[in-house]
Amino acid sequence: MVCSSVSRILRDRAVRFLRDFGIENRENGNSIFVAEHGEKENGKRNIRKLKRAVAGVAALIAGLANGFFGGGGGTLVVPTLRKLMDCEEKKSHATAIAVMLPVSMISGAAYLLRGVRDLWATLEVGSGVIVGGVIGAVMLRKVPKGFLTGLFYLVMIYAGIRFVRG
Amino acid sequence: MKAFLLVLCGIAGGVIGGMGLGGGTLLIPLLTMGMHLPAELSAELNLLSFVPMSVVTVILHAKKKMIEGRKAIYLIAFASVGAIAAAVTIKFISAEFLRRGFGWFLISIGSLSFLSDIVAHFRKKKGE
Repeated sequence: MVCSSVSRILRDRAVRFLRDFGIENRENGNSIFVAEHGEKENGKRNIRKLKRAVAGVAALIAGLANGFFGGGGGTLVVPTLRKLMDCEEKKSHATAIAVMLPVSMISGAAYLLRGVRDLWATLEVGSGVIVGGVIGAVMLRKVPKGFLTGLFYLVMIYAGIRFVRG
Repeated sequence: MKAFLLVLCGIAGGVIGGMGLGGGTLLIPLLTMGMHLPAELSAELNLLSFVPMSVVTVILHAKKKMIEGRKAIYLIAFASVGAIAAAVTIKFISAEFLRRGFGWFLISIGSLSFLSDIVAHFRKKKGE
């Protein structure tokens, strides 16, 4: 960042210097600087645009998965935030919850409309999840990631195999 | 007894969900394989219980300035489209296909996250 802005200032100075002394040639001298600089900036911007686009597609898939399977979209949103949107690790976990909140409301409403209902089970599981959620939210800030998450991923893979085999 | 176990399942899923690791990926297997609930019901239970939980945790996280609002809104826009598309098309897809799909989804996300964790771990060690 600092390096590029310093070099840009130096280039501007050089161009102005040449112009002041009447050596400036718009076709060659000046435009070369501008083109070179512009291309670099464009390349960076293109990569950022591409990353944003891929992040959008990933979010779309997360929403689809959440609607089809009734959950799990957040596991895709976290790496999207971290790897594609330059989000800090713990912040991307917290932000992923905020992303999945309205999305789960949409999917949940769709399930309700299709007529899947069990009031007591909803209250029981729901109250447990709220208690656990607060514990988890506090833990996220205090517990270092590592063993626990590794174990969780292994459980996930095991459950996945059970589901696939039926 | 069943009610108690359901609450316990909820707590386990809630802890993982509150940490932003994907509570549903734990809660749904617990409910369908552990409690033998129908898949559709456990999917709905997960979605409905996630809403109040995440309202609470989002407030907690927001107070600590842990949420990046603009990035969240960008992703919400795309994810909502996906959610609506899923809600419209789900009735055309068989339960069997959905179950297997969820299995493969869990396997792929689980193994990718596990691998990237291991890579990050060794990189950190190297840096030390």
